[in-house]
Amino acid sequence: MSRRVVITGAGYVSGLGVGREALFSAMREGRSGVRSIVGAFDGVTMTHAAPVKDFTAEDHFDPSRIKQQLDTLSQYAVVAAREAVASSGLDLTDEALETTSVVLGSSIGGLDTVEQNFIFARKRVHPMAIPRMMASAPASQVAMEFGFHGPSFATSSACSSSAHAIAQAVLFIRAGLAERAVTGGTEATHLRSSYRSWDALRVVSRDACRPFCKSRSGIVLGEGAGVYVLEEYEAAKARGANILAEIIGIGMTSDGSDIVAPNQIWVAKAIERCLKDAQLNPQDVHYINAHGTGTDLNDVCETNAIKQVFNGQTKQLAVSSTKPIHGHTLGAAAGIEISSILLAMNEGIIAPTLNYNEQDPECDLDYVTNTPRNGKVDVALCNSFAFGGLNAVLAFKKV
Amino acid sequence: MSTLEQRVLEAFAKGTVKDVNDLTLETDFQSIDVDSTDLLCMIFELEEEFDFEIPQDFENKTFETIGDVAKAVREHVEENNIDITPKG
Repeated sequence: MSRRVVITGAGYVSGLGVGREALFSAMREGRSGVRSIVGAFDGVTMTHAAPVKDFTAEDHFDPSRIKQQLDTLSQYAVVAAREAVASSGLDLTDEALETTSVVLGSSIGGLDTVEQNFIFARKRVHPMAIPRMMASAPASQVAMEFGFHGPSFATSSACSSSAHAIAQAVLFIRAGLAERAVTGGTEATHLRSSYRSWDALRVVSRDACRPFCKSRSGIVLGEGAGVYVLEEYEAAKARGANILAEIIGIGMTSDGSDIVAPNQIWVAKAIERCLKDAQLNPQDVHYINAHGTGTDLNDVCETNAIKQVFNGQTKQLAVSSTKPIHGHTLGAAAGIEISSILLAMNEGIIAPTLNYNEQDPECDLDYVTNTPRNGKVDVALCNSFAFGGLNAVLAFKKV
Repeated sequence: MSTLEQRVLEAFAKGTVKDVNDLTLETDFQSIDVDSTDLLCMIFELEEEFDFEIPQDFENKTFETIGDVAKAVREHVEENNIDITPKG
């Protein structure tokens, strides 16, 4: 039997603030971190986003490390990783350092550095531009922070980046290539170039993100990092670790068809593969944290894919998209959204899909809307479906 | 107007992200843990300050103190007859 993988630590930086409690309290209360960004940057037409709140880099890092090495997304990753590792209670012995992997997702990489040096360019390029902006910088910085020596790298698959990172970390532990991993995702989007690029794509809502709702009009951006400590189950149990959940399944596909539009067949197949890997039947699943972006196409496609796989067995199933709470954090999406699954499993509270005001006949699952719902969640899925058709679904079980 | 040496000190402080008040031309690199990244960032700040291009082999020179850097900058400016009057 394959080695079991559990979550023993979690850390976050988000539009709700720095740390786990800032995010969890918002999930618990159904409170949004989305706010007006009008006037923040020239030439930006979007009006709302959930930029990281209450974060001052100098509170967390030496000024020379910030200037020479840390793009904003690396700062978020390291701060979240510190919280994850501290909360795991891991004893960082030499043996532990040698066998810990770091896999972190990011959709874009160090855009802040790219922007400073090239887009709104000054005459000279800073000599540390490459080490700051490379997509693997957050993984390197987290490995450097603790001195980890296991297999470490970045994953990049747009909005599935952190789901793929976590999937890869699970596979490392299952295969015995690492004993534990620090994994998740990070993204920095509160930048003029980022906002202008998303504006140009015409997928950003002008008022609010309303997933699965008839009046939905697009995404609202967020940013931050969600980072976890994963461990092999027996080792975690032996050291008396506080186990937050077990990751019991992974399902991944690629649509192979379109760079922006989702494809129901392969979205459904990713869910199906995840259930198979987890040895679950559809009726075992109590909650899905949906990708639920609030775009026309995603929400119908995701609803139909779930219905296709569950084949009528959705009586026990609650679905919510928490993106109206923390925004769409792109490469950090699953990293941040798994918090809703940990909350549901450990506190019996399902975080709601905010801003829901009109039922869409095409989106007809049991969505948890506007206010949190109390319920017992023993098994849950986290969906991530990226631009370019890169799909990743993770399955969790209460331990 | 600042002397060339004072401007080198300030560029050095900016590049290595140190307090200029803690530095003198006699400060030696070993005592303040200057590494290769610091040297690269110092060269960048010197170029920004003097608005000239420092040749690629500059960092191969042996510098022990900030004064050594100032001396090399002065030689470079004089040999190439560069105007380093601050702009703007």
